[in-house]
Amino acid sequence: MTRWNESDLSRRLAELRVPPPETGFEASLMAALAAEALGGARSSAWVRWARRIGMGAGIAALPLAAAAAVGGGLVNLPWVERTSPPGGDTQVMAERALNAPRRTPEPIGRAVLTTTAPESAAHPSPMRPPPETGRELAHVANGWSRRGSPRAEAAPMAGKVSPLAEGEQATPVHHPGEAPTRTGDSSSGSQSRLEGTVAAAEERVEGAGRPDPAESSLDRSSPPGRLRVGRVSLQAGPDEDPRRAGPPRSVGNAEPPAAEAADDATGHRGSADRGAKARADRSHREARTRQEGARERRQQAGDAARERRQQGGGERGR
Amino acid sequence: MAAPLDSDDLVLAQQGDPAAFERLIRPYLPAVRRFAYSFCRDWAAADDLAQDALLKAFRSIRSFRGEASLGTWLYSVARTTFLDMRRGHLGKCRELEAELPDGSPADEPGADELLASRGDAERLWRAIRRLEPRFRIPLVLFEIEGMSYEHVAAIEQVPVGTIRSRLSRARAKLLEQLNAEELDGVSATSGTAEGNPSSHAVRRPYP
Repeated sequence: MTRWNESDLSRRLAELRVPPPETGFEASLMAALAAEALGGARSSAWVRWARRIGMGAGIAALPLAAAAAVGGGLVNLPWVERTSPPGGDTQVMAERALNAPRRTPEPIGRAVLTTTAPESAAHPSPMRPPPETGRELAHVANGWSRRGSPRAEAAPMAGKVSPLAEGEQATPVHHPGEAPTRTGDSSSGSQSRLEGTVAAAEERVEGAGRPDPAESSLDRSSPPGRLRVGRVSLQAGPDEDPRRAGPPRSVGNAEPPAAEAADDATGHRGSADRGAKARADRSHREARTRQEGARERRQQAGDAARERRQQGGGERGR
Repeated sequence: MAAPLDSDDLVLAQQGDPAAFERLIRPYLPAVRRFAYSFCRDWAAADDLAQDALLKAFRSIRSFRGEASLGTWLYSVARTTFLDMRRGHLGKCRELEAELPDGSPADEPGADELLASRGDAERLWRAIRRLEPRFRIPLVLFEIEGMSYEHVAAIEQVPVGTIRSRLSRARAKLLEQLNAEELDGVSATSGTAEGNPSSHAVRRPYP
């Protein structure tokens, strides 16, 4: 049994200053920073999504965040392997994210945001061999943030994207309606799944007869110069409002929240933000009204006091 | 504690370069993670929290003018993030005590000593978490991270005398808790933090 006393408390506290355990924190942080730098709210939705699942499923969220970053095409597996403990949760989750089967859209009962990849791709597989030299690694790292740099060369998500023109700005590929997974795999199984998804999406679009309004709005929202990834269509089931879609329940079947996905796809902030702005505006207006009222009351009180003083003086004078 | 600031990296980070930002904050990462651990029940939650804080810092690095040291600024951002988290429901959950690990380390060589030292450290951390933030933050920054009174005062944005006073009271409260636990043989239930959610935690006897 330890008896604690004041004389050695400081020493014992100082002994707590030990390096934290290796959890792949730096790798995950770097992925999150890269996500933030790449696409702001759009890409960091992956990180938020992963964190929410991590909490719900009782799994440490950091490996999931890294996995989401890999699945979202922000970093590649060799990079995770280099920057996290071997065999640790981060690597395991990242590998799982890469090997997860691609989900096919479920058109009934829930919101599905389908993104189809173009057939032509600069690099068919995101499982590119890892950069061998420090210079290449630095190139990969720098490619995350420097706008206009030839990122197609370094992008681990190259399987999903068209080659970038010189000076063109790349944005992350985001599949908000899907579990984080690898696309554009050169293996035949993944390829057939991808083709199946493309075919299914085309069928839906053709069946609709005319462009989906949601699709049109999504397309218009893409600013010029941004990377375009295939066709995007948004379908909401008849009995479910996408914005009411609940949080993901499990890792395997989880999807990013539909509201966030839609917001991210349009590049706009969520309705929560708009609500907050409206509340702030209202609060500001009310505060200003109160201030004006108070000023008016003060002025009236001052006038009355002045009047009383004048009357009092007059009476005293009399 | 204060690392020399690379102005090139700072400019790049302010332009949104994550690699430059990571280079800037790398010396502070262990300390920020430990700081977060004083608000969380386990390292996974602490890492999440630290990541949140660092992302927030990355988003607001443009507002860093160099008036304070980078460390002071970073800790201020982290402190705000941690306190914000603590106000939320999730934060209350995070501050609950951690479950005991499933496996028993009794078979490991030198298990008794290891267990004793780990046990003391965890006991200290748990007691620290039960302190109110106004006592906890100065205690962690001063006693564990070895910052000066002035540095802690700048982060907390209070006078140095207030920090001295809070530190003194924090030590007294900590000792009181630790010794009460020893006497009872169970985790103290007299949470000193008003409304501290840890008082609702599942209490388990110490090994």
